[in-house]
Amino acid sequence: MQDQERKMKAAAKRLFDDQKVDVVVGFRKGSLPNSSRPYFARSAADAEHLVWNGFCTANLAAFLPKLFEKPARPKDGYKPPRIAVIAKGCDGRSVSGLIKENQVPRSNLIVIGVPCHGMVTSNKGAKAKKEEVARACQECVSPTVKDADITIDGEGRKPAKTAYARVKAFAGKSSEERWKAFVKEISKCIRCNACREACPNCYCKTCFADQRKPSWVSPANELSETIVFHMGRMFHQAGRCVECDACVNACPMGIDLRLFTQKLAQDALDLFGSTPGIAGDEVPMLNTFAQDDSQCFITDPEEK
Amino acid sequence: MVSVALDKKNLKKFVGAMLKQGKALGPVATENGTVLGELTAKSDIVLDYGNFKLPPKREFFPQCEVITRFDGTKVSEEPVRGQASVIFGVRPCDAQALAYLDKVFSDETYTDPYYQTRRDGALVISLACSEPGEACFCTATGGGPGATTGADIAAFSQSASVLLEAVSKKGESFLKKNTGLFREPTKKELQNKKTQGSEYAKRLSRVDVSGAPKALEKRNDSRFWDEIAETCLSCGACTFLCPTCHCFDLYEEKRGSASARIRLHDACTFPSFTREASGHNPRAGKGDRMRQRVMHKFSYAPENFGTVFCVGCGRCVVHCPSNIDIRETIAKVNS
Repeated sequence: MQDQERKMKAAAKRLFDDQKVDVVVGFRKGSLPNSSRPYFARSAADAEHLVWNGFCTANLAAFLPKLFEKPARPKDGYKPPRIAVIAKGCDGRSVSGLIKENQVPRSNLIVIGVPCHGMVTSNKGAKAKKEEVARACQECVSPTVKDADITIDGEGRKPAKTAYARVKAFAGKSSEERWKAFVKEISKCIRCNACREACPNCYCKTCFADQRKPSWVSPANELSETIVFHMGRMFHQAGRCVECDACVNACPMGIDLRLFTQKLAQDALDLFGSTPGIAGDEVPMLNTFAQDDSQCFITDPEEK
Repeated sequence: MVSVALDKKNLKKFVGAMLKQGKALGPVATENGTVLGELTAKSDIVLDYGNFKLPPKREFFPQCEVITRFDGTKVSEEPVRGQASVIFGVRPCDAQALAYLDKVFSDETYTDPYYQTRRDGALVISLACSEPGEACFCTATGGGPGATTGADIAAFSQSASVLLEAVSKKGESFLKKNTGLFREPTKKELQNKKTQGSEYAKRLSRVDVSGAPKALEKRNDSRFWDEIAETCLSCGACTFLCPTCHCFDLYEEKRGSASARIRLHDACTFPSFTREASGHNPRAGKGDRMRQRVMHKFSYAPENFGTVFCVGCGRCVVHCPSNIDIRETIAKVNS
């Protein structure tokens, strides 16, 4: 990994030296023991601070739509910035989705793919917990970006084969049991919106949960409202969620959102043969239709 | 002030004594770690936790509370419901934060009835710390592992006993009422209390907050704040977990023919914070909002209340998804 870090830094520096980018979005050392945090390098000197280790959990694609957002009053001759992003497999899948959804101009983006070994479960200040590879990484089907502009050599983690064992086991339970488990998890929520803000797919200028005319969801952290918020957010992930666990890692309350968003990902795969972000030229599931598309999610949602 | 010792074998009885006061909260083990939960006669209170993830301010200033109802014809005030009578195990930093919130909500000119009713009704028993968290820096903000400000009774857990020391009159009368549970503390116990946490205090990170109010006066450059807030996601994890953050929003909600006015925690990190009805937002950028957050705690609060509104609990450092560290921010402000 140290070798990868050295090569990644060199690649970033070269981009600055060749004046090809304005910003490199990567990671730098965090302020807590065993942590890394998102970092925007803006010069070759800044690039010295970039790190690559087992704590680079955040999905950096989440920063891209805002970095590319055109200012409200752009100066004359405004040009969108040229941005490079250090990408694990999941960041790469998100970038691919953002490009397809026209949130990121491909021509201004350089993807530096780094083969991912899997990141360590974020410990959020918990003491000396055994370090283990995060569930999202254990279940990752594409730890390495396929269509990166620059690929740092080295072996990544072996792609996982079956990712949905836990979801399938959960889906096998009765609807009462599932609802109980869902409510139990969601009742931990304090509505801080960290899940939403950390998610690369949640780039709406105004989230439905923040709209007040009409108010689809109350901002009050009452259980029923919180459930509506999470359901709404999750449904917006159907066919789009890349299962990176950015939401899970950002959540201060430790809510197991993965179990639920993964069900949507599993449905996307089983019913429509779609794994978002994997095949570079695949049309996003919800942007297309075929006559033989599955309709069981409407006609027979309980079908196993 | 009264000082007594409670043998740990009598903890259950002590819980019983707290329950006699009414609703009692204390540190209980759950699958989500140790939380400040409602106690029952069967509860085993935990004494060796770090700190609760959620700040105890929520017991006095709930995240969401209905303050007025309108049934279609008349408006009625909503009484305070479900307040605690005893809260045991508040860490010294969080107890100090309550003393700060008192300055805001129990101001000489205006007293917040919802906060004050809960505060008056509850006995706060703090519990001295024995092990620092990764991001703790209470000694830098005027506190310490054995500080007692904001509490009615200060508790110090020792090997076989818990030393309880009355801090307020309310605390003293509770201890006197339950003398049967306690014994005289030994000289050794009193000596241990004095040194408790002193070793660990040396290991806490140091930040110079004393110069921050002055240094902040000169930090008017928006680029400075934009840089600090660069990786901020604009979520509310830092503010919602902060024991001193107290900004709130009022929200009116209509369900059927009935309406309610609700008070909700607000977060200066949210893009909607201070957004005006016209859509204009004087703090449109996250750098503007970061400045507000830091200025409020380290400049406006010292100006208005004579103290920085940070108790060094480290929650915002640990739980920020981008690990934006207030200790580093203050160091940058000072530099």
